[in-house]
Amino acid sequence: MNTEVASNDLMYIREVLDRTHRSIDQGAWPFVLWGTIVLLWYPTHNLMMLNVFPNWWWQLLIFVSAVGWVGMTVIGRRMKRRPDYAVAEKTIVGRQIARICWSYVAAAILLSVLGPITGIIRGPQVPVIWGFAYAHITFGVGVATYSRQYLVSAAAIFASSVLAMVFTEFNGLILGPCMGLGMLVPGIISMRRAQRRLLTLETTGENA
Amino acid sequence: MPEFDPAFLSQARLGIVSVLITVEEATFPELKDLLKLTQGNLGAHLRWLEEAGHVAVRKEFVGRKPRTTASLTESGHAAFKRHIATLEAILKNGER
Repeated sequence: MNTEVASNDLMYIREVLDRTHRSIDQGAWPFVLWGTIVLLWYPTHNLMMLNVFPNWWWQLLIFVSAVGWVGMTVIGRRMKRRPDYAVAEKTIVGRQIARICWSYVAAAILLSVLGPITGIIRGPQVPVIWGFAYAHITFGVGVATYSRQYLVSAAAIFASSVLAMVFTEFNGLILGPCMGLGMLVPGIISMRRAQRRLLTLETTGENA
Repeated sequence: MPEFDPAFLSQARLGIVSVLITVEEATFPELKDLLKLTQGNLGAHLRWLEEAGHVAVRKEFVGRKPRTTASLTESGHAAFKRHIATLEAILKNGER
């Protein structure tokens, strides 16, 4: 074996490892789904509280949560049928990302319910908890996947959460666009990157 | 002269092991899709790796459908690491 063959083999190994790891880009669809929901939900909620329907917030909460979880279930099932996505879910990085996301979501749900009941957190501050949770989720994904777009989004969501903490009355109007676009934009970039890679693989039709 | 494990002298087998090192296990269609190998080609290389003791292949039925799942054995893990070290040594020391 000469240096050229050794170099080619190492490059091939690196490429396969990268391909396996990068398939987790397709797992960005919950970012797109929840980004869209939050982008529409938080400002609407805020406007309702400020103006006409201050008592309808919980109907909106139930509707939006139902849309979100039905979306998660339906899209999740469809994605699981794809072999490349199934591999992505099994990677060590993919599992770490899932654990990071679920731990913050669980903590945010717990604080959203227990906070107002115990009086530790006031009701209008609950969106801020989700702002910080989303910022940490986005940051965790950015660190695990070495993706700059997630890190930039995390910084923007974190800054808007601090701002929303100060201006509680307008927190939905502040958090909605920042959290929504902060999840939507990196999510779309990741999914488009995954799509491009799939197209490249199909057109090159590489085989060993 | 470095000794090469013949299991890794094929790029297809190198690819299979590279995938299996990042996941706990992968099914036959997953490997086929990720490595863009044909069914026969993948089957033959998996058998090769299984006989060498580098990969464990499990066959089972899920409902009525057969499912083949492959995972890397400890010896496969160690052999792959040795192979990488050998490749790196070749690059470091120049042509042999």
